Amino acid sequence: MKAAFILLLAGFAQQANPILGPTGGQPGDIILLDASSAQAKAYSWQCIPPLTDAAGRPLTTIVPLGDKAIVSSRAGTRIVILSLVDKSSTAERPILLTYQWTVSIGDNPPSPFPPGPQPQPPAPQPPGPIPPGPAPAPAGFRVLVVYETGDPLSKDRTAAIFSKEVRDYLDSKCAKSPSGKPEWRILDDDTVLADTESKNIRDLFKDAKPTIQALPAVVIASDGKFVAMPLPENKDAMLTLLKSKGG
Amino acid sequence: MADIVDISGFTVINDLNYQSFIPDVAQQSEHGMGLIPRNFVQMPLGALPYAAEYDMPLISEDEIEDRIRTHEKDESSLYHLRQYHKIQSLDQDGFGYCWAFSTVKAVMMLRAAMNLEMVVLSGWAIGALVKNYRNQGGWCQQSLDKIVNFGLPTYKLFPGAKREYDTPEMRADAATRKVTEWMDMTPRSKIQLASNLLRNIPTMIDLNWWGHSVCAIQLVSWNPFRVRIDNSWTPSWGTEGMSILEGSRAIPDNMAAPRVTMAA
Repeated sequence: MKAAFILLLAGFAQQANPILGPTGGQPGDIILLDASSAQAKAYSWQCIPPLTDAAGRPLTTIVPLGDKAIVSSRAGTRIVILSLVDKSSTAERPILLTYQWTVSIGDNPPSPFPPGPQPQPPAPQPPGPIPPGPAPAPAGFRVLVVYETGDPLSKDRTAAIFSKEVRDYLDSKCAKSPSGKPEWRILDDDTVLADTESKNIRDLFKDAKPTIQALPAVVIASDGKFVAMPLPENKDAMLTLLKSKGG
Repeated sequence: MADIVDISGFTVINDLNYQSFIPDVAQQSEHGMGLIPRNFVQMPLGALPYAAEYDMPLISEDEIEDRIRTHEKDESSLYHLRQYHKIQSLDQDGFGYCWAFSTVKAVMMLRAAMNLEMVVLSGWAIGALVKNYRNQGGWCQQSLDKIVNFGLPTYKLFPGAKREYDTPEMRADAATRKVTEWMDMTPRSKIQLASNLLRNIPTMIDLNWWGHSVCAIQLVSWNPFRVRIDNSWTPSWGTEGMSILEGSRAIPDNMAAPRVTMAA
């Protein structure tokens, strides 16, 4: 039998928008959208409008991380479109659902579209829990990778934390302890930190641990704030994330 | 097929040449070995306090070659971390403490993977305290058990098998570096050893044919089975203190691995 293909727009389908995340922020913030509650079979993230630099070269607007995505925090308003294959899909009856989410960066963000005939205004966003904002942390750039060693990382995530490219970046950008050791660590979530470990690392681990929602996670502290988020899926996504906060 | 990992310049110890790497009595006094094979009848798997039997999912054999290639491309194996941090081979200096030095090197490598402060740690402390300062052999779980309960001091505070180094300062220092999770492993399991090394978990391997215990730091290839080891016979042995074990010479008769250590 010919497979039926069903395309449902979220509004028509009366499906709750599974996207959780901020709808606003300031340039430099990490804008993480989380659709893991959908438990979908596949996710596809897009972001409009496209961004370019002064020379007209395209810039990254969104970094897909499976069921999550990081959205560019350059000033402006952008619309994120999530297409997912619903968890109830079967080979005979695939169900594709589409949702959207609007994020406005900056105090007076410009419209995402040039003046002219205006499209229908976006539908009001469904209310949803907003993750807590960044919490205070010591000044300087510090990174903790936290995972359960008994639940091993994938090959790509192993590369994301052990590759020379990532180590070199962290060594060059992270604050240094008095002994000169760059303050980034890869820790099991049950690691005991002795009093001789850097106080900044101890404080960050202690403060960040309760905010970690799922392992493996990465905790990034910069500009006196920290945020915990899922460990990126691979080395390139890890570097993109680190560079968005570490310069 | 070309090797994924370039091992040119490294000595390969295999079935054809292994006898030339077993020191005679005179050489043994120069290097020291000291392995006593573990008695699995008296101490079966799972019988050791603090040591879970190997409980991690194994990496599929189909995936191994790809993981080795990724490690090599990204310079992300324990061997690469050793070179990155300029970690040198230890020196058991003719004592029969290989079973302690192999474990101490494994903890140092684990600390490198966690990006903790790089300090040289003391195999002397563990060997001497377990054997009450006697020059005696043992197996790797004995030393790991000591590090779990007592901790691990720096070489600076315990640079030889002498009672004078047992000070309150040394004990306080050691207590900051206890191993808090470790795994007892199935003897002769190539796939457990491979899974550990591809996840950057350093592993102590006891080799009965050699009468010696060393730290395994890299899976070089699956077929033939090749493992890069870090010995405790000074950097002047092999290549910077390392060599490659191949085939049946690389299959451990007993092994264990620290998985989590205190951050200090």
